[in-house]
Amino acid sequence: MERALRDKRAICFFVIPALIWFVSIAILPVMQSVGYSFLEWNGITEGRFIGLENYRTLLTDPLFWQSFCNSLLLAAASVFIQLPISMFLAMILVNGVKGEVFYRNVFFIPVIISGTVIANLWMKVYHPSYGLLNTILHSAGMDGLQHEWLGSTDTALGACFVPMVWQYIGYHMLLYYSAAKSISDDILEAARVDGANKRQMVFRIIIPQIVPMIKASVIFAIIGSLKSFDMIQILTKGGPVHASEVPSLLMYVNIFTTRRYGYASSIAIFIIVECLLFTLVIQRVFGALQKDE
Amino acid sequence: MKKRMSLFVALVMILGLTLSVIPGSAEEQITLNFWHIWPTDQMSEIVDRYIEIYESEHPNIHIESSAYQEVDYQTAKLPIAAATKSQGDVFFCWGGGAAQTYVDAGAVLQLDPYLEKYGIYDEILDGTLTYGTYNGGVYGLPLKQWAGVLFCNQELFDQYQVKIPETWDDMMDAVKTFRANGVTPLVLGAKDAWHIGMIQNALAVRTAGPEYVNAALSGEATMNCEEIIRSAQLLVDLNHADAFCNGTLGISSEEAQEEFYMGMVAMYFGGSWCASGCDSEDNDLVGKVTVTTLPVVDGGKGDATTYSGGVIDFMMVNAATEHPDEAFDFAYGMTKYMSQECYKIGDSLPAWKLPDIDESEVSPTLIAIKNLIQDSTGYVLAWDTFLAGAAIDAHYQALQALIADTMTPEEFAVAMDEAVKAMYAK
Repeated sequence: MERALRDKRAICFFVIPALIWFVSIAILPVMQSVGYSFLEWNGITEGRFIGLENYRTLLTDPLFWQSFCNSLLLAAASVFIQLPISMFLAMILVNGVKGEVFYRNVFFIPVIISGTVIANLWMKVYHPSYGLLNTILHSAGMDGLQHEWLGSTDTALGACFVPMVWQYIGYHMLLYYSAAKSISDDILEAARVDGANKRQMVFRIIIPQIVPMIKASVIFAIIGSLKSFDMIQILTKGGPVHASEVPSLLMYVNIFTTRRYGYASSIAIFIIVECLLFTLVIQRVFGALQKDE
Repeated sequence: MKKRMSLFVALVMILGLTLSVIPGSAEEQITLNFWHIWPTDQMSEIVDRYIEIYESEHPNIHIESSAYQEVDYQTAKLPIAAATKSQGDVFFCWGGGAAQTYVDAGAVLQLDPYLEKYGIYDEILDGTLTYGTYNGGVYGLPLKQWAGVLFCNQELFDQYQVKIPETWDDMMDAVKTFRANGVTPLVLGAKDAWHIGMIQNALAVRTAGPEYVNAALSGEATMNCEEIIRSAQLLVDLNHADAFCNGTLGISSEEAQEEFYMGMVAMYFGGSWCASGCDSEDNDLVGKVTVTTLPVVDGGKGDATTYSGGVIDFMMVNAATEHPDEAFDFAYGMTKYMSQECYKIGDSLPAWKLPDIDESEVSPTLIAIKNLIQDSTGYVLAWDTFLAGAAIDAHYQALQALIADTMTPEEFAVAMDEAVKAMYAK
């Protein structure tokens, strides 16, 4: 193995095909987008070079900032609501519940269902007249809590978050679960011999052991939130009146409805840079945390 | 003997060779790509049927047909392909603002030479080429006409003793009566902003008259005027009178429309294409629908003979096609055939002078619409097909804001005025 790794020519040889592929379908388009973001262009006729004008418009567009804040809210909801629930479920499963495999699979089902299907499902749940949610509230005598969930500017954003957060609970749960399962039995056995109870086992032994996985899952959750698109597009199309707008939806509308390719490209570049920055910050934060321990 | 035999064999061989070569060399094999928006149901059957007919009449031509979902096609597929002129040889496209960019980019073939050469102008109904004409040249063959009309569920009107509205006051009374009886008065799926536009655009025809609205949409008159404000105000009045379903801003056009087809909603202001749904055996409405014009508005400049609607669906030919003659011939045949068949199934009114059609084959609701509009005096297209680019989005946002009560009718008129001006300033 070591000898193989020392052979730089072999490494180059095996890496290059994948590298060419990656560069041509990922890096090049990003570079092209950077180029487009300097243009005023409708995507069809000749574009006009306008320098940084698109970025200036972007940074002064209140709608963009609103959508940006919405995506940050979603990221926060993912990290502070979704991940703790996932962790809680994972720890219950790890501690051995009857039907462990069954529950693990059930929680994972939403992950394998396409986002569009889930969104359509929840659209029915939220239907103001005959949706499941309002019907349950009605039969429980809580008519005061009934809302036009997706049709009101107050509730639309929250109503979009619920299925988005719900769908990936199982995914993160599985990450934690598998990480926890791979902890060496020796460590757990030693803790048990020392008299640790279940709570102590979770907080003192298991969670500290799976910090690298937590780091990965936080990154997944945040990046996923920042570039979320499908669920909101189907549930509300960013409406009503931009109440549930997120940057990727704004980009979509700017490309395909208003035909401002340049401006839309600058939004795309913003999303990429933002995701990279967040990844970097999270790496640093976790790096610092791990050093402390 | 041997000599004669070999001569005979040689002759047979030569004959065989020439016979087998002639049909192949006389006509080259041509493949035409056809892009359209009817992947399913009756419409796709019509398309496939004509392709079969055409291919059997032209054995050297093969039609490669590709069907896409309409919204994805209009917003993504076509713009991207048209940038490199790689859309189908024959392709479907909206006229008006939608095809303007493609025409400007030189991606669409001008059809006047062909229309003249084959004498086709006379076969097309008057006025149907307007929105397929750019800079004085015709770029599209008209496929169908539509008109916005009010579909009323007669059963519900009888049950609650409401009269079919003729004036706006009748309309508001009807709304109140239905609402008081727990029936949703009017269909609206405001999540799709164009659905709100259907009502507001038609109201603008009533308040401002078709000439004015057409001028305003062309940037020749201002949108910021009393009549446009009033059209928005009437929409807001409807909303405040609870005319639409619960939580309409979260409901899509299909969901809202389905409730009408299920017989749960009293009225639907929609395009003539809804006729097929009204007459479909799958729905509970067969024989129960009365069609009428949008009620007239007191003091409005558009009377009951003016409509929202027109011809916006066109068949176009790619400027980069290698076989312009064949492509035009196919587009012409397909357009005419579809115009006729779509009329039969209740999808739309024809744009071509068609031979007499047995009306028993046609959707009864569509015949009712045809009779209703035969003395029409003016049309205005849906604004989102007349306008282009950012103006469409501005229109959508302003419409939703009206329903959400975050914008006043006055602000709506200002927003539309700015959007239209910005569009023509470019």
